[in-house]
Amino acid sequence: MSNWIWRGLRSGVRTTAYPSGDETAAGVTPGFPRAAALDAEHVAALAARCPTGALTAESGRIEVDRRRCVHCYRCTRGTDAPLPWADDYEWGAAPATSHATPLGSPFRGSLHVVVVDAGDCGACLHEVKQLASPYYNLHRLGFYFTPTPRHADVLIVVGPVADQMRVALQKTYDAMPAPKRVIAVGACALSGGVFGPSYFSGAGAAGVLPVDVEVPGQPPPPLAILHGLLVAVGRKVPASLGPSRPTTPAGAR
Amino acid sequence: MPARAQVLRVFIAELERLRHHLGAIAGICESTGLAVAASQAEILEEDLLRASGALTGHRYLFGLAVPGGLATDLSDDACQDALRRCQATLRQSDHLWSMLRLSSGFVDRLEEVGVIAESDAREHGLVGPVARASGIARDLRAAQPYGAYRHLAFFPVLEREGDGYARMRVLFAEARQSVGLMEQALAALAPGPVRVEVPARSGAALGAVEAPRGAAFHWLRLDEDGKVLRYRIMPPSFTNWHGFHLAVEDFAFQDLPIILATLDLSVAENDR
Amino acid sequence: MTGVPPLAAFAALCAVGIALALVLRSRHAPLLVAWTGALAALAMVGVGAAALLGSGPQVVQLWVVPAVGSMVLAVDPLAGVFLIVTGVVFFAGSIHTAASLPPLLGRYSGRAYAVLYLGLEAAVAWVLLAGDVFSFLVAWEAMSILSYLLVTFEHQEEESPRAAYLMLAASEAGALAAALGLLLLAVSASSTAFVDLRLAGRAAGSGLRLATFLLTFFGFGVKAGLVPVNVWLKDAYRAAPGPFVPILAGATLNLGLYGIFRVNADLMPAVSVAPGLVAVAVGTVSALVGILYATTENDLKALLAHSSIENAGIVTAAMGAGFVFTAAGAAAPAAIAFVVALYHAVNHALYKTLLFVGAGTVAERAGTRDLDRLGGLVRRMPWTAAAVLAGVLSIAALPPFNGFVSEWLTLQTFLRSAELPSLGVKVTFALCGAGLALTAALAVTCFAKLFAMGFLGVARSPEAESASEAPASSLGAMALLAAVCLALGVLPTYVVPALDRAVQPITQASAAEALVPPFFAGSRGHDALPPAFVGDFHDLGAQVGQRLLPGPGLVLLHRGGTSNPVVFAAAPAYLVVVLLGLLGLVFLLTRAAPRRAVARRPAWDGGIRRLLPEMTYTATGFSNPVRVIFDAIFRPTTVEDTRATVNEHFRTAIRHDVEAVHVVDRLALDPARRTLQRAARLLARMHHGRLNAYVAYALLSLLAVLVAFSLGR
Repeated sequence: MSNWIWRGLRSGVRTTAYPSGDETAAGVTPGFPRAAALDAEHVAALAARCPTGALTAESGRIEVDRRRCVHCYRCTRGTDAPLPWADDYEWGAAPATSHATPLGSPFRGSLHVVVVDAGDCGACLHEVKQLASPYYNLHRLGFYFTPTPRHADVLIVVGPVADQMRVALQKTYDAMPAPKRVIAVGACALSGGVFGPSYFSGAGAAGVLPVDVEVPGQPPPPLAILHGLLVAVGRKVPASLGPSRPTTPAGAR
Repeated sequence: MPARAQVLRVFIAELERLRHHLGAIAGICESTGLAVAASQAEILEEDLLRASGALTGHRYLFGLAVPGGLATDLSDDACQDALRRCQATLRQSDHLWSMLRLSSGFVDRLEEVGVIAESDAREHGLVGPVARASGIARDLRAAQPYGAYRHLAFFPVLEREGDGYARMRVLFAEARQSVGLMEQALAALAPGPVRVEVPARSGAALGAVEAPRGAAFHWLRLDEDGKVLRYRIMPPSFTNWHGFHLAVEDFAFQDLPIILATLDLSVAENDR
Repeated sequence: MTGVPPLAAFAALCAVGIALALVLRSRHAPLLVAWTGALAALAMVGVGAAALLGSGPQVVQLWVVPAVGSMVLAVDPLAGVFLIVTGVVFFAGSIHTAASLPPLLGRYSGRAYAVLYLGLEAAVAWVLLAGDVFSFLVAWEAMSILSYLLVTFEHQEEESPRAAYLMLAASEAGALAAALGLLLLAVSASSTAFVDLRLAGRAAGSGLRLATFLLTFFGFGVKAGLVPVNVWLKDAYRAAPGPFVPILAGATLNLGLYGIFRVNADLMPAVSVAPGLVAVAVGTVSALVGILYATTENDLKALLAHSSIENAGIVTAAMGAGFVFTAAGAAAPAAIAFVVALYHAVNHALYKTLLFVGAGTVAERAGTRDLDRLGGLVRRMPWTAAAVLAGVLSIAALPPFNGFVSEWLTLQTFLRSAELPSLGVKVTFALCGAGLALTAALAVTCFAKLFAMGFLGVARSPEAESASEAPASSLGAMALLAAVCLALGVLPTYVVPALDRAVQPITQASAAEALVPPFFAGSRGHDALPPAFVGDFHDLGAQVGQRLLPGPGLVLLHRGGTSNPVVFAAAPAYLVVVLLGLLGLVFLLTRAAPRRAVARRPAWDGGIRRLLPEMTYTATGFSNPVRVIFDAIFRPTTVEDTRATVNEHFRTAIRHDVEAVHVVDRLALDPARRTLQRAARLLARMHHGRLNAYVAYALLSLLAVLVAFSLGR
């Protein structure tokens, strides 16, 4: 066993400086397309390339609704007028419909999080799990994962909320004591993503629970999820996700 | 599909396999409670996620493979860089394996625990590292070579015991093999286009690949406009879930999470 | 003759009851049994009280049987103790019969039950009062046969005749052995009266002592339920009808212990340590085996039966400690040990009867005896649950109930082995003390399981869900027993002097003096205590209550020498007061605390659709760790048979059989049986049917006789 201790010590400190500093390593975030001004002929074509309707063309500008972006890169690859790219990761935002204030102290340094997988593909859940890895180590911020909603302050929902998981998700939320907040993580939880709304899933967590923080991306990197948690407790300012459009049923896009 | 695209697809697929296997190894270490080893494996997995993100723009390699090739070209230098990072990760992984092998408490919880006999594995049609650990030498990359695998030297990893330790050995061996395949692929990389236009045609098609968890089958039917009429996926975990009960019978309740971790089953793949 | 009027009343009541039973219809039998049984039991208590608290033993001449001797009744304090507790048991049992017998009347004769029951009551009293060997054996036989008839009362059930027959066979074998032992003593005394046997016992040689001890110990041990002669106990308790089981457990088991005590402590006190060590060892092994099987048992009645074995083992071990102390000449520890043994026998009778009445009520109201099918009864049968809780706390030896006092004193007695000279004895005492401590721990597990799985949680079957509260008579019986259990636990300083009156004539030392120092000013002997000692304990409050209560005090305390003034001490009465005070304080604090809004939500079930009763913790799961740890004792053989369809996929049913042979059968009885059968097979070779060989046998035996005759001359 002593080998392991030595091994652990020799690995040194890998934890990211965020949130007290900026994380500059490559590959920590997939980024998002940036809103840009383009000439008229390209605007319409580019808006039509987006499979989920995240790009809206408005008088010579492409606006990006980050909630719907599924990182297919069709707007920047294989096209003559690729959209510029933003390599940030602070994506946590508060939806207009939410009236909840951030959880103040004592939650700022002590937060328990319960995660419910409502039918996601596995990528968002994997990124959430990475928060406990040495690179991100959310324990140093006083945030912990808990398996039971009875001890939880924050509920992270990933997935489009498949119909089979509606009851379980609702029960989990009901079992949490007040004060509680809901963070919807990933494009599927915000807008249904590539799945919904459909015959087996909804259009995200907003249809089932009151969502207080939205973290877009498919999947959002651990830093973005961390930002979302910090927004929920009020340690960080929420970002803006671009103009949002109501979600239309499948096939109407 | 152009040759460069095929080779790059192999490169990307093996990068994904390497990253996934290290994640599975981290899961096994965590389930047994060996926290330092779990952290070490998680460090390696995050290294590979960042390498994937730096190479292709997305940590999980989304948005790269399109019908007819790749959506964008990857420069040789970027691939070399990624390969160097993978080789460094592999050295660390080998060191981790040498330490895990000698941790008797850890090995005790895996050895002869969660045994799946070869006959059972064959009857239930298990796939992937789980099957290869139970003596079924079936790997679609060798059995039904697709893409550039036809030109690469490849022998499936095989273990016979079918217990958790065998599955772990398969994971480490396949990780090593993946880096070797990446080296072979990069050596065979030649300049050229990475995409051809594929006209939309009506009809049905079946595709089979060796995903990191095992054989994955996708079947789809297109109409004349190229719209997808039907899409059916048979993910590897969907079959392996049916074999889960074989592994846990006759073992103690406390072994259940460890056996689950060694089988590396995905819930999302069950809900297809 | 202060004992005579209640005695006459008792006999009259039993006779009247039997006569009425023969005359009245069957459907009047429950009430008849309840009234006459209860009144007779009160008379029995009166006889016992007169015997215990009276001036001295009295002898009542009954009949003179030619060539044998006179049949006498000896009313002495030891009999008095057992009479009192048996009377209480019969009182509660008779009241319970009013409610538990009617369901049986449809198929079986109430008249027969009433006659047998009242006859048994008389027979049990006669056993306790018998003053000579002949009447003792007659009474014992009557009691055995009547018990057998009552156990096999539900003769149409499949298991009853077999279990009862086994019980009868074992009883008779035990009675034979005990009779032989008593007769050996009687022959050496040339008389059958116990008074003469007492004199002869003091002068007996070591061979006679050993023979008598072994015969009576294992002979009475059958009735007491000691390993290895208790094969009959579990099946008989399971098969016995609901109204009778409390009596079987509370009254007849004590008779075995009474027999052992009477012969080996009273008639023939030990002079060597061997009998005591045998008793201690057998008692400890019985206790361990009993509680192990009880912990892993799911059938309520079988669980309580195994627990009876455990408690009989504890009493026997305490008695054995007393024998050893007597042999070593330490009279005061011997007195303490005997008082403790009697105390535990009394306690066990009370709380076991209570538990069996409760179990019978539950079985009848919830329709099943299986703990895996019960649950949630505390809401449906709250009073029964409260009474059973009192019984469970008593049997698990938790203060302030009576089980705590007797088990604690038992363990303290074993610690007194420091006063013994021999190392071997000390080691045995240490090991057996450890064994008894283990049984106490397992008993807590076992009865936590009984109460939790049976009463708490969710109902696991529709019958348990629709259970209704017990009838008033059963509740009354249980409440009485629970109250007595509490009283005996809170006031041990009154019980010990009472029991001492039975023990002092035997050991010539006073356990009351050793255990109950007179802290109350004004009580006898208060001035003899050293003032410094009294002062220390007055600071602790040992004199509290002296104006309210008579007696020497409320503190059980054993004094040692100058270097160790207090060897052990306990004050359950004060503990109860403190307990109630603390509970009251908590109650007031919760009332005084500011009211906060309480939100009631359904239990968190992991998000699944429904929580089923099958998902709760079962009795099997609760006791599984014990089963796994002690696997070497249980050694179950499992047979698993699975059914599958379509290439071993999609199981449709799994059948799981577990068979276990009882450890005593496996280690002692089966090998003995096999040896006997092997010997019989060898001997059977003689019977081959060849006439020539038979003639040869006759010739050989004739030759042998001639040779012996000639040699003898």
